[in-house]
Amino acid sequence: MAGKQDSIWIKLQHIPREILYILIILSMIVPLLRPMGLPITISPQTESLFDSLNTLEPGDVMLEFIDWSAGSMSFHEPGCIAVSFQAVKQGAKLVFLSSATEGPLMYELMLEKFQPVFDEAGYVYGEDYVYLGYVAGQETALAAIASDIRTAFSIDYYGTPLDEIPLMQTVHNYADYSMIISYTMGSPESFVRQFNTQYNVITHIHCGEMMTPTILPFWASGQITGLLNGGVGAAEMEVLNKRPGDAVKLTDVYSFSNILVFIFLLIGNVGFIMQRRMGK
Amino acid sequence: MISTDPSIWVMAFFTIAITSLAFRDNPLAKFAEHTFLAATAGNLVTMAWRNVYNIGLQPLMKGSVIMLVPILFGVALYTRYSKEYMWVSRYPTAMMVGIGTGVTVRAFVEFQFIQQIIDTFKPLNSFNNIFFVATVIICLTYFIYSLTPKSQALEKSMSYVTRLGRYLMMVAFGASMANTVITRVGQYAGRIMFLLYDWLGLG
Amino acid sequence: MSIKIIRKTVPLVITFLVGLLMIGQWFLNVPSLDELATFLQQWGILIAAFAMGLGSVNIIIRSVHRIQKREGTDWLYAIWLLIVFFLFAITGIGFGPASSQYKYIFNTILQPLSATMYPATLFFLVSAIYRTFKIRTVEGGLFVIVSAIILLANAPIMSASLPFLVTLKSWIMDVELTAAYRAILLGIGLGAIMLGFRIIFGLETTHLGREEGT
Repeated sequence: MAGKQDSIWIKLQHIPREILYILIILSMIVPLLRPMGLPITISPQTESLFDSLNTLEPGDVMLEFIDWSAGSMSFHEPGCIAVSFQAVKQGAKLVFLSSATEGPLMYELMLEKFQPVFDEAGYVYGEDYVYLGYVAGQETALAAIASDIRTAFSIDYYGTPLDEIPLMQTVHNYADYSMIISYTMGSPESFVRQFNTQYNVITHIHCGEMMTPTILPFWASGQITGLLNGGVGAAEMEVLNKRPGDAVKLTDVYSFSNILVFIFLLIGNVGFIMQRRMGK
Repeated sequence: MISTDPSIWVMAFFTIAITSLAFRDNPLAKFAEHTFLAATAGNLVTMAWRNVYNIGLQPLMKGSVIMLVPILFGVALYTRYSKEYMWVSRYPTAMMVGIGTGVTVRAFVEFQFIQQIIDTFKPLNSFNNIFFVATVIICLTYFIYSLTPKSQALEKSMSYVTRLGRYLMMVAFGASMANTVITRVGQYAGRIMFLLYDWLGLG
Repeated sequence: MSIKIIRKTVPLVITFLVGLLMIGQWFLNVPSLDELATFLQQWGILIAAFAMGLGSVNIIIRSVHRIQKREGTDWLYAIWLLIVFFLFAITGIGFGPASSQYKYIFNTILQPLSATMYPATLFFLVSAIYRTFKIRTVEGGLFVIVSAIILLANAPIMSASLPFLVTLKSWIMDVELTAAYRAILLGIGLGAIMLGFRIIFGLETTHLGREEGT
């Protein structure tokens, strides 16, 4: 704690944490109440996902793993909506499933916002899209889904046997999946291992920014075709879809909060360096 | 217009209670933490039951007697709470670990070695490519602890290389740390959006 | 001797055989092996589903102990914990997770808690950045400077005003960071494969628990 006699440089290094926290919260409130709508640069990772989605043809099946928890809902949900919108525009069939325990309820929340898109496109549950529910076992489950989806699921989330669902009558294993996308904060590598490495299924990932560094080498080598980088990536996808939504609103928050964190970093270091120079 | 929905108020209460934990420990935050722990465990049990019923019990009831084996294995896991019969839980654990390890390890060589090494061999015809290949090699050199150089000159030059590797990795970790901040900002902003738009009706 | 075989050796043999079967399915194109491996994967999913209940049993046992001890106000929290746990478990198993009842309690109770719990670590992160990340060494300096560049480049207001930040960030992420993390991943991959084979060949037995009395 800095005392009254301490120099300004020491005081700069001991700002009470409560003030830091309140400033961070304010840096989020201001842009959310007064959005700025600044331009967003599209990254090559998002572009390659968008281009890949545009190769989908009517009837192609895309697996979407709803593996986010409520903690990352703020960017995973808009990302999923943006990707699914593009897939629906191409006429692709969507098979949603989860390997995370909060996935089913996250799917329901996402569907509340996405149902109008399905309705407008004339999509019918069971014929054009389906949700299979949650499967335990993590990578073991993924291996099972890749080799035979009926090993992991015998019914859909609502209790209908898979063989009674028109869409699932033509979906059995990796050969029937045109591409997969995983929205996860867990282990995106496991999806690449089980789908792309063994069966060459086109694999996309939407993960948080903090996981992007460990995933980028796999995007660079082509093992991951499309990569959405957290909230930034979701916003880019919304811009490409020409449907700005919650993720674009978040980018305004980044403007303020990132700069504030930078200022904290600067203040702490300026105080430290000046204190060392003055020999205290 | 501020929300009159009681469930929105409960959600707002829990959001603020957990946030208060960052400021200082307090009874509200402790209450919220216990609620979170209990709800997560309850949700796990719910999801697990669906899998047990659909994959195990239903086929068993339809006549697939072989499913009795994994069901018994699964039940055997709970013997770990008995000091006398704890060893029984080793059977299902061994099976789970064997399956999981086999499924993961089998893909590792191609996934994390072959494909990655192939991509590292870029044509050395641009600064970026040369820098890329050099960075991979230098950073890999940092992890070689068992090399014993035969001369002092080699040892000194190796130490420069490993130091450079350390610098290059610190650049990567710095970027990583910034990405972590950005992730948490994006996640927490979602809660602020809820409080402003859904609870206080300001959006 | 036979006790040791039953209690330790047989589980290790199971791990070995099952692990080898999974690896064999990958490398050998034998349909019967494929079928057997897929069948075992289903068993793996089922056993994993049973394993998900282990944590809950632990929580219940510990909560009961806390209630029996009656220390301070701790036991009151333990009672509340059990109430919420059984509310979720009974509603979820009884009505199903797709039911409106379960969705209501999930969305009202678990969703806001889960949505705030991990993101709230932002505050601790910010505090750590402010207090700990100081330029004391060359490595520390590189760390701080690059963090600052990435933070600013991801702020649209800055990247719109200073476009060179975007180019710099792209170079750092796509070239430098990718290369450095590739080296790290190669090292991790080696370690993971070694550990995997140690587990399969029974050289690593920590997953089987303690040895006493075997």
